[in-house]
Amino acid sequence: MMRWRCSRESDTARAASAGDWPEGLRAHAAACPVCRDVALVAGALRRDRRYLPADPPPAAAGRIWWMARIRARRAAAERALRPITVMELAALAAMAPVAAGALASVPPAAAAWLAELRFVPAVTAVGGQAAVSAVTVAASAAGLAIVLLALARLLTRADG
Amino acid sequence: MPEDVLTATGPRAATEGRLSMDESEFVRFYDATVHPLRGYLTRLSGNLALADDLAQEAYCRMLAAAAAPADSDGRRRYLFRVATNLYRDHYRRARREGGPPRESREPVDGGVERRLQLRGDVGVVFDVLTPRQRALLWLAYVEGMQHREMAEVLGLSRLSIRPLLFRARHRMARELRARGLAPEGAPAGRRS
Ligand SMILES: [Zn+2]
Repeated sequence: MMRWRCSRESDTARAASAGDWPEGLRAHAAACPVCRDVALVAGALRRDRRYLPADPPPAAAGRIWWMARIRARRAAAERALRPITVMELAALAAMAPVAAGALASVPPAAAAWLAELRFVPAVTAVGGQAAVSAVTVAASAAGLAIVLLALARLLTRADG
Repeated sequence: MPEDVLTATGPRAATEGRLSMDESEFVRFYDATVHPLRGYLTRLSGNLALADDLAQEAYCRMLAAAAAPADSDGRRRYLFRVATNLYRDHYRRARREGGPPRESREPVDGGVERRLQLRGDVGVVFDVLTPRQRALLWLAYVEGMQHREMAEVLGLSRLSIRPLLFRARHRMARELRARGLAPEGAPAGRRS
């Protein structure tokens, strides 16, 4: 069975990579099957360096840095907007049943009160009910939206 | 742009859209690592244009990473790790799509002459090795990494490195000999 480790393997790798052999080590590497492979491979890789590109890479460091910064800022902005988007959707979802409920049940007392005050003189009883419905819906929606957007802002700050 | 955004570093910086290094620090790091990284990726992929793309992406990801180490050796290993993973993803994707996973047979930089110039003996022999074998040999004998460091870069256990490296080395030595690329007799190198 072939040996697959040698205590002088690291020294051989260093010498072959540098191309600088202490005399005793060269003799060992010639005789030891493990170090012979190490020397052959490390030596080939050392000689290979001259084939590798030495010209400047296409992207300069400054350009990469700016690109990374733009990407990082865009990613941070997306992260910051994510809770707002979620809360906006939640606000819309919450507003839908409220709006439906408000339209379905017109508060008659409020309509009568508005009519007595002649707040909207031209409106009929039905018109007054519709106006009150609209006011109720708008107020509910605005209140919910304010609460949920405030929550979103708080979440954004906590996340950052 | 406020100055603190330009200079902020560390995990919190990344979550706030800042980078793990400021520009001057990055330029120094880049100058010290770009040629070794390019060489590694060129030999790993067999394609200089692909190597340049992967290197650029690796730097961008490292800059944006909250987990990027602060010391220069750690950063260097982290960069090689990111680059290795990017190449691995590219290799798997290319195999899935039926394309050539190793592209050294394709023209590099638009010129056959340039391609041949870049190949060398190692480029030819690397064609028959697996990507992991190429990476192991490069990290061990060009980057001079310890087994622990190679394990970190390649995402392997430290104990698995020795047998894997032995097999990769043995295979490459056999290929070099089979192609008449092994110097006769004594190990290669300058006689002192
Ligand atoms: Zn030995």
